Amino acid sequence: MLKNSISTALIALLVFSISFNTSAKGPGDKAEDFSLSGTDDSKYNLTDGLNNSKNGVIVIFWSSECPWVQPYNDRINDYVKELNGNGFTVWAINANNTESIEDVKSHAAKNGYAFPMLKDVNNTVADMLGATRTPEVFMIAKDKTILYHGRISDNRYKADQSVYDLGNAASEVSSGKEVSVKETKSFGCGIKRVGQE
Amino acid sequence: MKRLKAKVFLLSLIILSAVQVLQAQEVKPLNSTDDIKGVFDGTKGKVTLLNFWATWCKPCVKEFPDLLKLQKEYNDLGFELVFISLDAPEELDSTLRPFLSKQGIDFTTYYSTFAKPEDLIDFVDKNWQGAIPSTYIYDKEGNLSKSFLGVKSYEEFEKEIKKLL
Repeated sequence: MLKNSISTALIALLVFSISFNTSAKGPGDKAEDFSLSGTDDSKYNLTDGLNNSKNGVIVIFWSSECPWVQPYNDRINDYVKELNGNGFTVWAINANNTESIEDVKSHAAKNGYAFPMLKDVNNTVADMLGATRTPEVFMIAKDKTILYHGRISDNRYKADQSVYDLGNAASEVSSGKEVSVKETKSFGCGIKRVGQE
Repeated sequence: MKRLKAKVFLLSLIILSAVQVLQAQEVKPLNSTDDIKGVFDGTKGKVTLLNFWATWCKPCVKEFPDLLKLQKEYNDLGFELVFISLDAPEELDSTLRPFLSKQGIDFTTYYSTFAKPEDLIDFVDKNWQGAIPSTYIYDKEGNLSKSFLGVKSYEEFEKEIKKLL
């Protein structure tokens, strides 16, 4: 009887742990350390990235195919330059199992991305942060606290964009202020995880 | 005279078919939460499956035939399928309508024209971050029974629908 109760409790704990580990992280939560390879064959480690940045690391889940990502190609390099100026290191992460490293590398070269493109082959980082779509942003402070989570801006098309949420959050942090809008939502392409078709 | 009658009859048939095709391909915009409330009002008393999709979303297109099959199998038993496309409104005639026509859609479908997409996202599910495909199944009273993120099989959807019918 006791054995059964312990087993049930352990199973319940295991289920809780699994759901906890895969739930989405948001503002105030802590990111866990990770290392990924970039399309430039370099290794990128979160702790190192945070140590080498003034204000933190911004990761943007990216896709070479998603129509909600591609319209940002006309201004993402400018945004990254501005974010770097505000003391943030910026990495794009491709976690789609439908896009090979070669595809990602070729797409990055074609678009002249001036920022590292990391490949999350087993969705480890997407699972750790609970990322579900592209584009999806996590702004991580030097102590690994998530400061901002959500969209890049309120519209994928530059002409229709009125609020640049990510830029606003970075400017606030750079000015020593608290991020006023910590979480936003937008439609996006679901991340195609390993095991999903 | 007989020939004229036959021509009139044939013409009537053609016009009728054209009207039916136009009706079959009715694609309505959803601009506000009131619009989507109106859609829910229209499905009261039925088990409803709400699917967010887009023509360019490969997983969405992959599960599309399974969802249509569910509509064919269970519509007469009190099941209603509601598609909400997230294709850009300017691609309605060039992309969305041709796709729906090719799929043989014979019921009204919808596309989002929300100025603030987060209003639609939060109205449907506050825990949803906006990734598609995303599917929601409601019971006959309009209560959310099950949500699915990502592509799912016919059997997974059918299991939930059968429970509620």
